[in-house]
Amino acid sequence: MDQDGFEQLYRKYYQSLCFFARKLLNDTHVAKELVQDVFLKSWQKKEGLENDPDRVRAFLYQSVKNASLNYLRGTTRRISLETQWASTQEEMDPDISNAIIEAEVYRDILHAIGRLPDECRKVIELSMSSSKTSEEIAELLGISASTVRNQKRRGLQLMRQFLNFQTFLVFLSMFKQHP
Amino acid sequence: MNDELHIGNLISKELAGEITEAEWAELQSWIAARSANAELFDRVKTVLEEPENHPFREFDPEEGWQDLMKRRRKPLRTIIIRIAVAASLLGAVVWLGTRQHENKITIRKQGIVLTGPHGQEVVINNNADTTFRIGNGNANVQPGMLSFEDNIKEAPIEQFTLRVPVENRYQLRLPDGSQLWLNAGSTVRFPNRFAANERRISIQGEAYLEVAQESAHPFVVETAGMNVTVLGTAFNIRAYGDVNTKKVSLVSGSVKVTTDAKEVTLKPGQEVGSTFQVATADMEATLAWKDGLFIFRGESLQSIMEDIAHWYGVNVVYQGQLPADNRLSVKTERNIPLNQLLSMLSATGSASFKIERDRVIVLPYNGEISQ
Repeated sequence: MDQDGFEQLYRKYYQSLCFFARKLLNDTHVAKELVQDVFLKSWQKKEGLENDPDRVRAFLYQSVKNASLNYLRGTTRRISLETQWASTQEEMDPDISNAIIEAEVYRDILHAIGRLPDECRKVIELSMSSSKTSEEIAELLGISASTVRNQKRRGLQLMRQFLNFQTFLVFLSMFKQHP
Repeated sequence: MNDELHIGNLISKELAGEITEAEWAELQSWIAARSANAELFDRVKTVLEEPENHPFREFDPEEGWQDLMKRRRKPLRTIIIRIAVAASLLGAVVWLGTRQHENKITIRKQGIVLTGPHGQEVVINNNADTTFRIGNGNANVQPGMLSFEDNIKEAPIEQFTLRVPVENRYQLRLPDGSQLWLNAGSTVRFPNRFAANERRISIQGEAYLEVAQESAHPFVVETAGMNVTVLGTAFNIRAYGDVNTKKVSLVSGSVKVTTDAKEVTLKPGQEVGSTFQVATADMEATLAWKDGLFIFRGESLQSIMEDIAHWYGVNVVYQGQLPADNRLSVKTERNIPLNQLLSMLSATGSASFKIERDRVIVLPYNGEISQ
């Protein structure tokens, strides 16, 4: 994997892995640091980053899980990457399973936000990143507050559809015909 | 793993309203299986309704990526460790540490020693659970902790000394119920009962104190050249005092630091050193030893080596020209062997190290990671 591929992978999973780690650790700062370590080690060792996207995803969650559990045990004992990979098939604690499920659904939701038409997306992304009010966002984007609210509402409706790729394609074709 | 990814996918489909009947049946049975599953399902629905509360907002991928690129260029400097959160405390809390400056560290690894009023010494086994008579009272030893039984008010006041060797820490319960943690190579002198007007102990080295709340009886900690008086009710204080880095840091509450010439009252989050300049404290790093950690954040190699010298009971010798302003960050557990810690430090490219008996020699970085 080259650096561009690695960056794409990073941007794809960084937030969901941080969320997952924080679920296990209850500490935002440590969660971030731990996810960084997992990426850095995988990149440096070029391990686990093969071409099968499902295996890469499983590998990343598994690595973050192992790192978190090690951390919670207070050990610096390192499980080799091979062992991590082998253990992906094991049964998992249901709370850990749920943390992965939740992280993945949030990733889908975020992905759906990313696919919204520009103006919708900007409004929702701004309200996400800064907890700004509709009025503040309106000022920032140079549009009226009621437009902001409309775009938000429209975005929410569209997002439901964008959660599913098939619908997304249908929508795109409609959107092109009736802009 | 595939099961988790599959369920996640079903939930996303349901949120999109695109789930098939068979899939919905499968998802429903998953939701019904555990209450935690149902709660998860409700939670993610809320996020779809209010994406501004999306939990990923706290993790900025751009910031993360920049940070990662910075770290890639350097050897890994940080080892993730457990950071215990300081317990919230009932009484007043004083954390006080001074480091007696000694060119040679005399306290070797010879056990935790309690010295009685007549110089009688008792070596305390860290894991023991026992009671013994010393002076006019009974001392209780529990694993990791020593306490004195409540002595009769009229009993004559006797002074005791507790000494903790290198690579160790130990807890002491004082006669008023205050708790004291003593770091490696440190000594506390304390009475079997406190005098009527004030509570006074003295410390050489480092200690963390949780002071019992008794406003009528001020609590004074004497250290070499600096006294600390607990003023209010709820405090955390912390102090360091090496020849270079003597320091008192207050976590919460109020504390007065005095020398012969000067006096300052600290506010929470502040610290003061021997120069008497009040500064903002890095509490996590300052309190790390109590949780069995080394945390250095942007500290000079010299200051890190001072901590290492005290913990491992070694002398540090510098040979050759080292980079003038070299700030390092290290986090690790304290039970790491000295040579491993030195390898971590040399991996940052700041210096190389040689261990000779009880001496650590610091050399300019020569590309070798210390063994």
